[in-house]
Amino acid sequence: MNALIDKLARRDVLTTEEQAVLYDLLEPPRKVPALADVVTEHSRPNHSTLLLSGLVGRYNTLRDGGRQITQIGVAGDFVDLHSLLMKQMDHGVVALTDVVVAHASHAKLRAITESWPHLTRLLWLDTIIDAAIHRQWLTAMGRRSGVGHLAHLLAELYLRLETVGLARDYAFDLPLSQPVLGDALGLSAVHVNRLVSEIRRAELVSWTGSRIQILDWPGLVREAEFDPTYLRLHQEPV
Amino acid sequence: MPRYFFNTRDGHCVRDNAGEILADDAAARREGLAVLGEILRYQDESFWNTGEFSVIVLDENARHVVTLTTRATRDDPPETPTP
Repeated sequence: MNALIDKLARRDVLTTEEQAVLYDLLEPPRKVPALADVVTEHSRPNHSTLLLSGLVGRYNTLRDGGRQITQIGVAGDFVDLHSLLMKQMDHGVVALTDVVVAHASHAKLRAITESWPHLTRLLWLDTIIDAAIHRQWLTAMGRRSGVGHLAHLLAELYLRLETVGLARDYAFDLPLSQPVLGDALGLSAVHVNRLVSEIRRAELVSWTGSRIQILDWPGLVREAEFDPTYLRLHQEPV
Repeated sequence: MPRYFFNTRDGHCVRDNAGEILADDAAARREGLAVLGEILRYQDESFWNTGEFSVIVLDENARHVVTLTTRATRDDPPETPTP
């Protein structure tokens, strides 16, 4: 919960009343094990799911069993806030690690839209940023070099984790296997293995197990052509 | 089904320690070609460090299945057509 408040407060001031409304919104935390669906493709949820800890992946599946991850969710992300209006999920959300989530009923979310316009705009902004992340991923997937694409993903995840207090001093944990990273990058696991080796040899990051230390932030940003505007991490009234 | 490993080399060899389970050598050759194509598609300037890139396919007994290599050359192609 604090992760969501930290993130929204990076963008605009949240009053104590608005924070209380968010706390009241959530049902008790639930655990979901790694590999299980947090939200199932084509389901019609009557609640939206807030990620409290761990990592999730938004994904679509292919007939041959392949899968494309289209966004990685971190603590503080409402993974399917849009299900309030979309009704039926056009994609699934899978737990990439063991995660803890909390549900927010659509009835309560709808009540927020009727009584709390400023908080509504902040939550709306969050779904807009989901779309902005998709645009950046599409550009990276279609046009960037392999190393540039991986560098972009690492820069994005560092800033998003840092926003919610889960990364600092250019270091963070990314407990994802190379096949899972391949699903997120749209690349084979063999290729990801090679890119991890290249980005380490270039001394942009050190990568030991799941621990990533960014050694050269300006170099990583240059390699990725990373412009953080799309994450909207500055304070400006909405 | 056997596990196959796809090491890659452009002067610097990157070992594949995870491998992939595939039906047979023919499937491993197809996968090796797909991997070669994919990596070349996304290579930046790094290919030109050596002008050569290989995918070396081994099975779980370290038996060499196939090596696929792409190499840049300035040799005249055979039978250069004259304008």
